[in-house]
Amino acid sequence: MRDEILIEAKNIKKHFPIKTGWFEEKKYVKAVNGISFHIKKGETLGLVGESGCGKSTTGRLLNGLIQVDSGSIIFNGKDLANASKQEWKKYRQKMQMVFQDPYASLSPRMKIKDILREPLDIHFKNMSSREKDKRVEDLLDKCGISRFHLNKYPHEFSGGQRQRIGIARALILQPELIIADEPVSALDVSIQSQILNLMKDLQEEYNLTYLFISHDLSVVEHISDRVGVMYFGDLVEMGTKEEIFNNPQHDYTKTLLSSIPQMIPKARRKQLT
Amino acid sequence: MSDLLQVKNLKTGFQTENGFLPVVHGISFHVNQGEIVGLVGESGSGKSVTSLSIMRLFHDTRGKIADGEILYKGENLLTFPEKKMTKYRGKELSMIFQEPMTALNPVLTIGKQMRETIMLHLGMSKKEAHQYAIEKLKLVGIPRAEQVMEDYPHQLSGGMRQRVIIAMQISCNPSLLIADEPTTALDVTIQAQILKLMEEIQEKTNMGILLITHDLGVVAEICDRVIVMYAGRIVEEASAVDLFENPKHPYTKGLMESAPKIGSKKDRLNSITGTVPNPNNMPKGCKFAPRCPVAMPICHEKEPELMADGNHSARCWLLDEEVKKKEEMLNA
Repeated sequence: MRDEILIEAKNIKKHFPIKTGWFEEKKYVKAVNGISFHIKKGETLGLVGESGCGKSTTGRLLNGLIQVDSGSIIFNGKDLANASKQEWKKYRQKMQMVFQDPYASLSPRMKIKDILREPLDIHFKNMSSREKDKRVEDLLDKCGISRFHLNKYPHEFSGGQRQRIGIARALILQPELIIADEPVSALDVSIQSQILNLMKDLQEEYNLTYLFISHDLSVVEHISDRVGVMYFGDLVEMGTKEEIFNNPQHDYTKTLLSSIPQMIPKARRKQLT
Repeated sequence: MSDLLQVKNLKTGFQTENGFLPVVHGISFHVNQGEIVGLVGESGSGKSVTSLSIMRLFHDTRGKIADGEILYKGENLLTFPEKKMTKYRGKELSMIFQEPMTALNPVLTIGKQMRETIMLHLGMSKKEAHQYAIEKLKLVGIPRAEQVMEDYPHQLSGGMRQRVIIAMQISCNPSLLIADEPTTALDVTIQAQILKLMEEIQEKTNMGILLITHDLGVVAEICDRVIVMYAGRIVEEASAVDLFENPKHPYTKGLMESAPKIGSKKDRLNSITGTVPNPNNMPKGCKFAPRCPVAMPICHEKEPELMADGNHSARCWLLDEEVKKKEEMLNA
């Protein structure tokens, strides 16, 4: 089971045109420059890199929010390159996203109940209203939000609670793959750890596969099985987390790792060196 | 008094429709010459309000300093007329903000913005100020400084902009620099460079730095002493070595355990349950008690004082011998 490949990206490319003058040569930002990787069922692949390296674009290419220029994406053995809109809709049910900013990713004018029911209304037209309500309540419970809050609006919640709601919304369709783009970057450390623990618990319970995109190496190390390092649109290194963190090969990975602040006070560090 | 900055019993809050809402509850601390002090806390702990109060940038809005003294080289900044304070800002004490993207004026060149401060505070001519600014840009490691003087902020990267801001803030040789989350908006590799730069500059100029951050890793990297804030109060204060090797307050311990550490084999993080209390609805006793894993009955009833053991102090009943004895007797 664990070795079965859920999603595979083959040499995917995305170049964004930059606006230039009429007669100038067209220029492009090579956001994703022909990268290949796969994610196995039930595993967490961490994708790290600094701002502008193409990690978020990669996440969006996988679930078709942005179309690839070339290359293919194979999900559960099906090539999605030529999938129609209808087919994409079906696939997206199986791959959901969790976004970075819990303040911007929930509609301020919808109640929590409606935010969670909307995906069900779209994808499960035959489900009875009562069944939908039950599923919403059960899932919120699992994500640590009490059912008293069903009729509240997003602004009534703290950042951590909103991220729990964002995760519940991603899970409501019972997806196989969760693409989480910096899901804990906007949160305080004490809240960040709660959300990371929650994501681990949910993964175990629902046998979820994660693509975990983050700039924070310690968070990625904590949650991932394997890690890919991106730099200027290229995947410069990929390996199990032990390989990447204990024995990095690429110079950029080494620089990244040496930049992480250690929790060793300055005075002690000076004694050591 | 050798202290560069001494904050005494500072009480700050907001004027709201329902009266005065305190956010910082009588905190006292000091920063010495040549020392980097970290002020750590999560959002809503009152750390930024504290720094804005010191710069007196907190008055005009709905913020209000209700009580306390802020002594800078022995003079109480709170009694200064605004004109005198303007002379001090930038010259004696200056501040670096979190967002290098918004702290610079987008329609003025870097040169113009740098010269303005220098001409105002050091009384130089435009030409002198220009040369002086280039020197300062070189000091913070900006290559081709002459050209950067002609650039607009949007032509520089985030890390470069933060360097420009640092150059600007140290250009008039302030004795105290307040840095409010100076590296939070930056990538790790850039963060490491900026922290190193701040440390170097501090060693060269011997100024005092108050570094405000939520990141304990950053604190360990460059601070000599650390103050931990929670819900508008100081809950622990110690040298960086003491704090990291022997944290006394359960909140500090919780913060350290919440952060994932590279190489740790732990599957789950020890997180602190719950969230920071709302200033409108503070718990009665210790403000951390509802989230505290080792809270005792007294913690919910009475707020502890900051208890000192040498240079290490913490606001926790566990450090009170009598309370501890009683607790042990109850458990026995």
